[in-house]
Amino acid sequence: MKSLRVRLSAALLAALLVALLAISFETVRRADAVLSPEIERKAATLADSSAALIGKALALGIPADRLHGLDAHFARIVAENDDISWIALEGPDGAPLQITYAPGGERTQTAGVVSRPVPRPAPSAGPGSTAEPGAAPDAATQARADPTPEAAPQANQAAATGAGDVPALAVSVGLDPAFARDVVANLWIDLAIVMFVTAVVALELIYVGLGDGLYAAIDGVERRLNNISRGDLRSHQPVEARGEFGALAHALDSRIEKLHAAYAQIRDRALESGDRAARQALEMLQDRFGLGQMLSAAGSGKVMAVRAPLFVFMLAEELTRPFLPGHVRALARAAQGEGALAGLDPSFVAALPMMAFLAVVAACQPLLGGVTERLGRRRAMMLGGAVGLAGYAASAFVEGLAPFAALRALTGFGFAMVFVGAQGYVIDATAPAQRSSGMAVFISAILVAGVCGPPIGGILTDRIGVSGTFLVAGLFAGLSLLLAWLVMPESGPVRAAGPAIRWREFGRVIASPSLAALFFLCAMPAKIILVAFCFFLVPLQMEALGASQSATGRMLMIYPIVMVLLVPTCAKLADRWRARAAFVAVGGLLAGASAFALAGGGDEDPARIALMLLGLGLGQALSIAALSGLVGDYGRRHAGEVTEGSVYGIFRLVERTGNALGPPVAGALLGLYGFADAAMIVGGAAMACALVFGLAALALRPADLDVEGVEG
Amino acid sequence: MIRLAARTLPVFAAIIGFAMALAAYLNFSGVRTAYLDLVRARAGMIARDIAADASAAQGFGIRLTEQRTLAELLARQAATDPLILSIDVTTPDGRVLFSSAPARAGAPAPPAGEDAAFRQAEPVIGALGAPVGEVLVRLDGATMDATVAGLRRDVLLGAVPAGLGAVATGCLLALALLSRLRARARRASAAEHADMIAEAENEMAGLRPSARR
Repeated sequence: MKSLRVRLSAALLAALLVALLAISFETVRRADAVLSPEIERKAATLADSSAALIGKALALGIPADRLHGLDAHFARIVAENDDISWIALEGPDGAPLQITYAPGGERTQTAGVVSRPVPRPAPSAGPGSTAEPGAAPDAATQARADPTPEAAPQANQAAATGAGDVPALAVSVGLDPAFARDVVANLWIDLAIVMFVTAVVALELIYVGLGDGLYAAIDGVERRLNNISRGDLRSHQPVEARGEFGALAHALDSRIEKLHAAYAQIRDRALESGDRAARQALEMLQDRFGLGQMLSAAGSGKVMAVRAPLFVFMLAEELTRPFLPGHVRALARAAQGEGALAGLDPSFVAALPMMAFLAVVAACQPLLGGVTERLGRRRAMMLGGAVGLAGYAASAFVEGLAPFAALRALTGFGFAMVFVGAQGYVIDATAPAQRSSGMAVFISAILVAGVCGPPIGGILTDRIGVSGTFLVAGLFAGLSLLLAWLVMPESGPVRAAGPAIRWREFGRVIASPSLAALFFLCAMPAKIILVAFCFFLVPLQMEALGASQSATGRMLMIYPIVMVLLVPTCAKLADRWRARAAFVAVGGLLAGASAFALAGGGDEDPARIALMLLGLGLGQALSIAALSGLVGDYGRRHAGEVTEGSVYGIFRLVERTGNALGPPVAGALLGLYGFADAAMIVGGAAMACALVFGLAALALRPADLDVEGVEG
Repeated sequence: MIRLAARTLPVFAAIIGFAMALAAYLNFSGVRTAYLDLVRARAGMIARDIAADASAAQGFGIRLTEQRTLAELLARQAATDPLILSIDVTTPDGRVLFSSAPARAGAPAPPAGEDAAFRQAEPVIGALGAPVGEVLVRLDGATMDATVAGLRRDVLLGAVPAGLGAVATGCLLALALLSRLRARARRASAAEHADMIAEAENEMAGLRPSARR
């Protein structure tokens, strides 16, 4: 179904883009009508203001051709006002004495120019007349008195006849004719993101639209057709669904079965007759077409049911990424203003509610495996969705730091429930041989939410504020509940097999130098640096740079996009080259080194921050899959003492602990050293850990830490 | 196929409709922000210029309460713009000293939360650098709201045909893709279809004992 899903999404995207163009053109037309009069009024005010300023200088006796600083004044006006093309001080003949253009601005235009006369210095004018506004309504105030374009000729006339021997000057402002178009064009980045996310959401929700049976039937038909066109004629597991596509799948199966039956008949006869040449030819046919063989069941079949509710819940949390650190820091400052947590740096205090969320997730995950088993995965996910709905919605209304932290902890519980429930569902729905493809569905839903959530969260926050975005996140959590109820199969409670991790096993795992090195030098630093950079430091720095939440959201897309694109390739290369430990060490070094993109004052340059996130993504794309693989490799050496499940359980617990440590570590360093130094300290520490792991892997090979001795 | 369309198309229609509504809202919100920014910038310039004049007078030793000609200046300035409700000069404790609307002088200025007007303020700075008052430009919030409401109506109404077109096109494309898959499957399920199955059958036919004799 993969290619059909992609084609459906592409078709959707094409339809959306065409409609979007139509809406944008219509908006430009309407925007012109609304904005043009306002631009004209504003230009008149600008011209009045500058003319009054110049008039004061002339009144002090400064000649018009020696107005030092006028160029800087005009440059500032042009830089601060996107809606004007140029501003000029013009002489009596209309020729500019001083003119400043905006980039691309031209003075050739005749329409859209607003002119105001420079007030003449009255013979008795002096500093006193400037000091007492309105005392003698001079030309500046007269010009201000009627800034409408229609009044300009009269004002000009008045200025021209006011003082006979002084030539008439005027300030003219050229309006940018493309301003309304530019306003709409500037939305295109946001609109493109909306379209992209819509296509991705459509991709995720196709399963919901089609339903379990129809989805499986269409998927089955497509898989059969693709296999037949490739010459792979192995039998398929039967499609259970009825309907048109179910019937087509059966028809294709019957053709293939007929072929297999004919092959079996000919092969039996060849065996009976002892025809060696025929047997050899039949073997070649079998190898070429897979005759007499059957494909195993597709691993992702039933697992697809969990994808939509999981994706939607993860999207809810990802919506909060761009604004959460800044919002919590504002709450922290308010709390400290009231005397709470006095003496602590606001950045560190801001980290505490984020830590509460991640600590609850870390602490709950090992415990919730059994709980979700007893409850049933579907009910567990529904419960998680309900808790998330309450947590996000209530977060929109609280103003105190402590209640907000408590709500983050509550939301973290819901998040953990959904995460563990979904993971458990994948395990329940797949045989061990299909586990990897099932987990790929699970992981890709989380990664895709990571790509879509931050930019949409940023766009929403810029327009409806933090509270509104929390409410939208709550709606998404509620939608996750609804989707779990609609599409996941009901499974009754089962007796839990026992705790996922036993403390006895924990001790054994930690006592192993190879596993301890892997967990504490690679897994934990990887999560600390990820959370510190992406979830904490970068959003706060973007806020400090005055970036919009949309820009912060776009910045936060870099890491997940790199991960989505590169993780599968890096995983394959690490396996093919039998170099998982090397990938882990090099990836850790690269991720840590990414922070040094900020060296030399680069912390105020968004491009350098983007480079840092790109480096982090590249490093972690190299290491993340290899790290998971190494856990299994090293864990198998202790197969007699601990189960593989326990080793992975402890690995995840260590990772989650790293997640929870990320905000306080980053917060404390940010308060002490500032953004760039905090990032470089975290990055440097991660590099040191990766270096020690790499050296240990080389030194101890092949006794305990094996760089190349990866099995399989 | 009708059943298939009935099941799938509402989902596509809902997704496309949601995206179109969001796109229309983003368009509207972008233009609204630009409009409000223009008004704010204009009001800010007016307030800044008056505050600069009043601050300069302070610098010459004329206290704010004594700058009586301000009232005339404020009235003239307010008369130039139909959107301006009033321009007030207030004391730091919020009392209106001078106003373009004389009835407001002497009364306390309404706090921002209780004032329906769109407000833009600029401090008047005294000789020692501390604020000694404020110039407050109050714009007609109701007229601005009406302009914004008209803009919202126009952009959203303009988006309806494009949105309906997108829903129809998207649904038709989705249906066409599913129909194409169905047609391909129908052809492939026919026994006489020339494909890899037929090729394998042909090759096997040559290996039948009857063919080899």
